[in-house]
Amino acid sequence: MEHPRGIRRLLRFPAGRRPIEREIDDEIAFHFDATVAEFLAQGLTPEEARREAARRFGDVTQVRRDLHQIDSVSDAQERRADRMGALVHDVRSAVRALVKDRRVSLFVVITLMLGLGANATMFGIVDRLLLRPPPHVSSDPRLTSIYIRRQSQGFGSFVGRSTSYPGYAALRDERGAFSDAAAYWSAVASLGRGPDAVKVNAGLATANFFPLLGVRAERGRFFAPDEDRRGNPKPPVVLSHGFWQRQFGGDAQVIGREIQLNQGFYTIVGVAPQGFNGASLYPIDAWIPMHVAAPEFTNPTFDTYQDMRWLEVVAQRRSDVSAEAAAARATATYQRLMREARKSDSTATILLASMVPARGVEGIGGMLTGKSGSGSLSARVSAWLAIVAAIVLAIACANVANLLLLRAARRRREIALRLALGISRARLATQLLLESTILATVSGLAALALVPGATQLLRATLLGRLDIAAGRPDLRLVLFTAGCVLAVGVAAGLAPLALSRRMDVGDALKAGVREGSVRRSRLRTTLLVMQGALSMLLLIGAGLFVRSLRNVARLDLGFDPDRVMVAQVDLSGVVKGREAFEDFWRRALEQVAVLPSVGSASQSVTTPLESGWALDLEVPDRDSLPPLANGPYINAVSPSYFTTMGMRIVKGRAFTAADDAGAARVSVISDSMARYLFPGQEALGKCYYIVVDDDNRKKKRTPCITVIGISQNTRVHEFREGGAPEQYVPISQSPSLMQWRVLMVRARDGVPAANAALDVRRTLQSMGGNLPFADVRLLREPVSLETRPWELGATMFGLFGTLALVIAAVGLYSTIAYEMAQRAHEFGVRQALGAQRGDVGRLVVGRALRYALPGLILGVGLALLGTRAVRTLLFDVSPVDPVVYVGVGVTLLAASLLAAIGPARRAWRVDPIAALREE
Amino acid sequence: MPDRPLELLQGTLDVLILKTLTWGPTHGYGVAHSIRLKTADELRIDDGALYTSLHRLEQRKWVRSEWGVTDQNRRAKFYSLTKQGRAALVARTEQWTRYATAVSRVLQPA
Repeated sequence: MEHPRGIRRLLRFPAGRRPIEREIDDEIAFHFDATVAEFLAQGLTPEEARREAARRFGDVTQVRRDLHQIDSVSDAQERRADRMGALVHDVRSAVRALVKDRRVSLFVVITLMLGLGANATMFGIVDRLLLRPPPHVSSDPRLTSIYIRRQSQGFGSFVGRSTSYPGYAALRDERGAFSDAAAYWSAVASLGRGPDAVKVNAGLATANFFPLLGVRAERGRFFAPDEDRRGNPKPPVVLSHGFWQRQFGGDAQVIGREIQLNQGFYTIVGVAPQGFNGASLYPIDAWIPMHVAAPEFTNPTFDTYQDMRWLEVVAQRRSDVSAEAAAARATATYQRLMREARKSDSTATILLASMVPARGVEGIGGMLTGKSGSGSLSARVSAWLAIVAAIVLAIACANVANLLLLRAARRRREIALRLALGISRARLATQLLLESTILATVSGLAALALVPGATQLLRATLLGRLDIAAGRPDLRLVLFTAGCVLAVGVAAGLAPLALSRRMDVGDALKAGVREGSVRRSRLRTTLLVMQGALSMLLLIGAGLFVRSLRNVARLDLGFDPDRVMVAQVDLSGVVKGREAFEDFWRRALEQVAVLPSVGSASQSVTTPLESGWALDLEVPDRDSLPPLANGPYINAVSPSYFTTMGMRIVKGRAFTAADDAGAARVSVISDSMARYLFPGQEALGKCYYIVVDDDNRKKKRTPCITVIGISQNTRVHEFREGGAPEQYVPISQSPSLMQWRVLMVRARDGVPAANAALDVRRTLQSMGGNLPFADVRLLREPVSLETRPWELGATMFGLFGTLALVIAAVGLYSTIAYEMAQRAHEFGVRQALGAQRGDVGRLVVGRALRYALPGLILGVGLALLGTRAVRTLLFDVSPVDPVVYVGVGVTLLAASLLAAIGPARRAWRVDPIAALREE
Repeated sequence: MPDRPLELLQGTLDVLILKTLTWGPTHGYGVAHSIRLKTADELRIDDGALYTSLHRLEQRKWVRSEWGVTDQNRRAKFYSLTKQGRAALVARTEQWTRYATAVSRVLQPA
């Protein structure tokens, strides 16, 4: 059967074509017949006529071959055009269908946009943090980060990155394994002196660090090897791009200028490219040569000192040595060195890790559970977030599949009609998939637009001080999103497809106006239950973290983090001798204490949560004290320390000015220390010894120290555990080795702490024109570093959990609304037969619960399995905390009921007469 | 026949076919017949070449073809001019005229 082409196109019949050869033969045959007839009419014999016709025609075989070739090409062109035409037609009709169903389409787009947006954002961050080397670092697989696994008795194995300088030198010189190795370290330094001093993060690096990483300076150059030597009179410094912009306004003339960092003077020789922070993502402001700066920044004997593990090492593996062989050689060399020096590291193993963090020593799994020391908190959190985001996308997908399923059910008759008219199922599948893919694409574009904002938000709230670019969508991100879009489009389009596959055309056409024998579909129920379960899982996670955070916030820290600040200034090279040092701090305390914005101030040797000192103790008449995991800690303080911190003295008294160097040795000890030193006895008035190394490294006991006060237990040293044994001695009686000093300052009541901090900083800074940067911080800063994991957990699970719940509730609402619309007739009948509104309402709510309850139970099951993984991240909350489970269960049920209210109201408003008349 | 028929210049056949089709749709034989009548057998055209040309024109979408029935009730493939074909004919005709004028201006005695 042939159709004129126009009609064929109109009805979209499959193109049925006669073979090209037959058409050509027919055409030529007609021509011959006509020509022969013409010659016959002129009076030629049939024989002559045929010969003449053939002569006129030319080479028939050749012509046929030519025609066949031309027509084949035309035919292929035409088929292509037909296919394109069909696709354009399908896209048009899909768009038309979507626009017609505006509400559903909008629901779908919003749902998918949120799901895809969350995933695109997380991919961007995870990609930057885990899946690539740090910016500007070569992706050469031979370039490795050195990790060291150390065995420690009683604590199992521990993987770390730091080693001593001799350890680094041994690795660098292991030429059987590495062609080169570089070391780096970062430290806080003061740029300039006096009132203009600025705090900077200095990166100390060996000169080969930069060529090894494969980075080129944006301006100028990095260090030359001969510049990185001890005592270089004119050492170089390379500024980071960001610091160059901030501090020097991006001035191109800056190269050649000299700046002071701590006590050294450095000449600016270059600017590093934007985003370069060495082998990590933590911001570095200025790079200075290791061998120039280390003697001042650490210790003059840093290059022979074995006890200080501080350097991190990157190495280039030799190309002719396998990674395993290189690691084995490096381990042997390292262990030999440590054995010779009789250090505990003699059993350490050297590990070669990729510069791509996800391929690091412990992989993603090890990082997620935080079992090993490596893998930054931010990286860990991001990896978790990515998993959570994927769950949200799964929920969004399920929801969209559901909505499309409903739409397909409503279009059942339309689909059946098209099938009856002879559209192929493959073609129908294409159309259904096209619809979902178009929706996914629109959502994907919207999602990409969300990414920069969302990344900014996450960076500000969750990722702390990591230096990552502001989430401009790059090619990898776009490709990832496109992949997601495609997957979502197919996944969401498959559901209605499955429906059409099972459809019996005859039944569907006969079904009548109400169209509806597809009221309950198993697939739809499964999707709804899954959404509920996953939302439940995320919300339980959120609940556990919120509870943890609340427990943490309620802790009595033993100090007031929002009113108390710590002020410090590095006096090395500024004042000489113990006396000048003490004099400076005495004057500093006097000046700060009388500031109008300051309530009280004191000196302290250690900084809460940041530094600690532990010394061995002896108690008269006791052989030995049991070993402690942490402490016993000691701090030396001036008399007003306890008032300043807000630390209660529970028994006895605090120090007074009379407890000075000449007076009897006294101390205040914590309650836990009292129980540790004098179990079951009254500690007040007892005495004990501190054991210290004297100048000749010989153990020496102090005079017996009398306990004059007992203080409350605090979390000054051990935040998580709390209550580590602590003792305080007057600063004038402290052991001579405790030469470090900070001021603890409490803001006066009613004065904003930030104002007080500003006053304190100004006062300290003005105490000498050559002082480095004076640093004043609220104790909230170190405290929030400690509480960050719970804040992160609570925020991320809360955010994504709420998102999931909203998406799931929308899904439930649309399903129930659809079902109720389908059953309007039935409700009319029920009401006509005397059913009350309450009965109808109960029926609708019953439907909602039938979806919600299995989801709830499944969610609890998932949570019981899943929260085990986060157990170590919780604080004083059991992973099966009943309050959380019940609370979240109630929330989920409430959300389902809320989703059912609208449809229920509509159901009981059905007018029985109208509903019955409709049939 | 005074001399041997003239060889056809390249591309001329296309114009002749297009021109022929302006009088209405016809089959390949019809095209050949009317060209022969018009040129009084001055031009030597193989009927085969005519068909090759017709199919090429169809590929270029200058003509389109449809199977139909002749006056004698025989099935035949009818060609007709498309819009593009008409436009091409106008352009080609103008080209040809300019060419012919130029050539004859040279050849005519001054």
